[in-house]
Amino acid sequence: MNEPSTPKDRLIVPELVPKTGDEPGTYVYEPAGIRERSGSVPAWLKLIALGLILWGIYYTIRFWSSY
Amino acid sequence: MDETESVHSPLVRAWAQWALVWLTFFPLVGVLVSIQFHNPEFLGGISWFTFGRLRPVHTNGVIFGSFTTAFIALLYYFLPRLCGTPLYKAEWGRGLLWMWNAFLVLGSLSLLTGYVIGVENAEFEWPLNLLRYLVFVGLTVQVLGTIIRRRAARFYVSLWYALAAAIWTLLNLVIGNVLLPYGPLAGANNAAMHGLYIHYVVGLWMTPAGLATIYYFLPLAAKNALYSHKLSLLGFWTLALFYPLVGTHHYLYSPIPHWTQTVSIVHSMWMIIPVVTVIVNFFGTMLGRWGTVLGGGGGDNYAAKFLMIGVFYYLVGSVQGSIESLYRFQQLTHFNDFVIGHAHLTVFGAMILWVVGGLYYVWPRLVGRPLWSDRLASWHLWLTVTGFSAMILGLTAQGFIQGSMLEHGADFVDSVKAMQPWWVARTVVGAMMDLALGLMAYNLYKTVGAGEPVEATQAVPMQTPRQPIAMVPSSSWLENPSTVGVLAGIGFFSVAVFILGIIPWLQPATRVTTVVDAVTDLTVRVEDYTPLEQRGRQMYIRDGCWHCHSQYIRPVTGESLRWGPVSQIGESAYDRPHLFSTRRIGPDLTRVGRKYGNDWHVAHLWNPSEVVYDSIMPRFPWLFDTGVQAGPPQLTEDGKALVAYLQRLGTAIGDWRSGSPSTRTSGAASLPGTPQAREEVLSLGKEVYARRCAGCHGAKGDGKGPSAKFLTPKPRDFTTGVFKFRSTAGKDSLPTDADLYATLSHGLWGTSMPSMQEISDRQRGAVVQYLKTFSDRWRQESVGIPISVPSEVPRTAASIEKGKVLFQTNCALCHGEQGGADGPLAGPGMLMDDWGEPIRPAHLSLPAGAPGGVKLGHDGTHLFQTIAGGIGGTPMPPFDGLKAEEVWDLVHYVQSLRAMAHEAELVTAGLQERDRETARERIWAAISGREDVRKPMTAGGPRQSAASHVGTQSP
Repeated sequence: MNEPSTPKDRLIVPELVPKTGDEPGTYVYEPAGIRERSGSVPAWLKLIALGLILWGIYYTIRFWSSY
Repeated sequence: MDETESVHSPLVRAWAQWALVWLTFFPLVGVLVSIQFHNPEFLGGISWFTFGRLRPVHTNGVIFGSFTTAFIALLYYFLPRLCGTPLYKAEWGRGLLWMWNAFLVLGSLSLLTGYVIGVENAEFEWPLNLLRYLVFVGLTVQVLGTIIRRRAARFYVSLWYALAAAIWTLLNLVIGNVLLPYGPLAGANNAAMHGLYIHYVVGLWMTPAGLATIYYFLPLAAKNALYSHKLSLLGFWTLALFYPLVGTHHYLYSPIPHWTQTVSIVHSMWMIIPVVTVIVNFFGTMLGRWGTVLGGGGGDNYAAKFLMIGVFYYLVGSVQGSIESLYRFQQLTHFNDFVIGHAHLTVFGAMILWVVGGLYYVWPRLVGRPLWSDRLASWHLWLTVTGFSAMILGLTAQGFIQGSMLEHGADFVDSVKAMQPWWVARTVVGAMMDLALGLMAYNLYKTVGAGEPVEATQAVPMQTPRQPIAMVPSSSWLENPSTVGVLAGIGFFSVAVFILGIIPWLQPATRVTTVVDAVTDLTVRVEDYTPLEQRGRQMYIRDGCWHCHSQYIRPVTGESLRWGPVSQIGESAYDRPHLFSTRRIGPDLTRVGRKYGNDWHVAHLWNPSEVVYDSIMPRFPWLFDTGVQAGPPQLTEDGKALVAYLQRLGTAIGDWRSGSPSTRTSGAASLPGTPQAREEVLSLGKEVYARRCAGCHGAKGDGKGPSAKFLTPKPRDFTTGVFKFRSTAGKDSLPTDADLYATLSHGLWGTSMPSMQEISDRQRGAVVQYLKTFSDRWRQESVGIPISVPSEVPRTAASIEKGKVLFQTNCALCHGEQGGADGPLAGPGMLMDDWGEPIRPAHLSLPAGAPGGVKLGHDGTHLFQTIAGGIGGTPMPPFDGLKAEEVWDLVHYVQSLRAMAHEAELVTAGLQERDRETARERIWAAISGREDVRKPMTAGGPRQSAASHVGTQSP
């Protein structure tokens, strides 16, 4: 994609380039011009979260009343 | 305002202009504060600019001045654009700005002039809090009103954070400004609630506000779609769920209930989930755009660069914050610069850089001109990255270094001294960071009048038809305003405050006004502060002593060896607000009471570095009446009150100092035989002497150090070779090395000679050898043999009675019939020492460290040798005509004076009648050094006794 070169272009470029708001799973917040994909949560992140939750339960029990 | 646009550009511009001012000013205050670490005399002697007053100006200023002003400017920009409707009550905006600026200016002045509340990050007095609160109320009304009137179909993630942040902060300010200073919570309960407050300021104001900012500006500046709506949801709700429960981790190992500490640690670690979630979202948003952004110029690309640099620091700082909350990690890093590094990573590295990114995006649109200079923006960026990265690396390293030093038993002052070069570097890089912000302000200022005019903010029609939320099928209930506001904003917050702030307070064990006496292990009452002590406490708060000195001793890293028994929950029962503190630039003061004589504090407040050469504590000349012509400066009433408060600290657990350290020490090696080894020892001794002794005893050892003018009794003149306390026979006989070592290690209670137990045996031994070089007596005379101390006769009532008779005959003339230092010869000016100074006999029943009491304790061997050998240079002669049995009888009587007084003190403190016999037995056992009877409390537990940490030196 070519970047704008004139001062005006550098400022007034459409706030979303390219305009692909119609791609599947993408929502455009019209007044502001922000696009947002529906996206997903990576499996590895779910795994980390699960691991931390389990660790937290263990830690709470282990250190509930003493160091 | 352009009627066709929803954004009120002049209002945004006005707030943004002030943001640029505060973004430059308050970090600059931080640079000034940083200079004071390595040059304590910088701005010294001026009360307004003392460290304890400047520091809160910096911290509050960055949070509320630099960050919040910029955020409000950006909020006024993105809120209408996301809602598709003009800002609700936009006409309030100017008024709020001036109220806000008034709060910042008057608030800063109030901190500088000492009108403060001792609650960290909530230091302002109520009128200023009210002013700030009104602004937040107005802002929240604007946010809510705009959201309610919105025409946009969906409720973007920035609005979740902005709405929740406003509600959280309105609630949190009630905690910080009302509940903590004026509510019923005291001591540990006050600290528990404060832990929540202090973290909510960062975690529930700055963090959500910062995230609202980057969620809005990153997709626009990078010109790419936000990576994942699902991640946005996960990030917001896990933050709302976990963050309210992390705050207690500020006070781990304190007397706050243990389970709350563990809960806070677990939630701190769980914060990794929302942090990583939003990080993935932001990096995902940059996919395919890195090259363009990194290689591009103009406001938008620099906005994206700063936003993503902030993302990186947010990742590092947040994960660091989670890990440092773990028990073991916190042992090492809490209270030191590691935490300061973490605070800077999140506050500056993430939040400030995010609003900076937002300003780079918004400003050109506000003024209708392209960014004036890419080169300046580049300088801003690289000065920030290099300066800030260096700062963080340095602070982190400092934390590990100082923490490790203290864990391995280093003297606290030595650990502070080791930080000096790092602090110099911090000042340099901090100045770079502030210069960078100045460059940004200049760049944006020049942008106003430079370049070709271009179309300003992209128009957003006000006439956009309102689209009911219900018509958008993909919008989850988790992202509608009422769920965000009520469930996250009010619900989770309230539950967290109840769990970690209210439930502990409801537990009766946290509200006790009793402690376990350190000597007898029995329960006694804690008294409230006297009016004088209370006034001193106010001075302590006013001058910000608590910014450098903590007031709780943890059962880890040898703190009980360094500062005394571990803190008990009842000790702070009357502390409202609590003064636990989160920082140790100076030593912990929990048990500073009776560690030094009053005069020492006077000299120390006048000029700390004249007493402790390496001290970086500032001077406090405004606590002195310097108009007095004759003699040294005298403390004002405020200053006296402060000393009274300090002398009270840590004494509620009783006479814990009486057994610590023992006079029966033995560590002074004799001077080595080889010249080289001699030179090494003397060289070390000279260094130690210069750093720790010369302030009082003088560089020449003549007792005329710069602090000596404040001190009574006067510091010893080593050039005469006459010492008060020695085990050798004969008047003014030379002491043995072991005698000098014992005095050095033990200190002389109630005087300005503190215990030097905190420095190593080798250092103490070396300084003993060095101070012997001041007098020719050591070269001309030989040291006598220590007085032989025969086996102690049984301590019986008969022995005590015989001792009493002997005492009346031999001692009462000076010491008084009951040993109260009120004998006929004890009047003012009646007794003089060999140096021509008036001297008072010892009050024999006072607790350890009380001015006027015995100097080296009631240990039997010491008393025996003192009676038999006299006290050098004083009217106390050697009673060498007494039989050994008689001396022991006298010793027993003198010990009984203290034992009876000690028992009476416990009774006054509410000792149960049924425990009296037990108390008496344990008091005597303590005097005898019998650990088996004393049942010392464990070193790791919350009720450690004094005796348990002198074991290595006890016989």
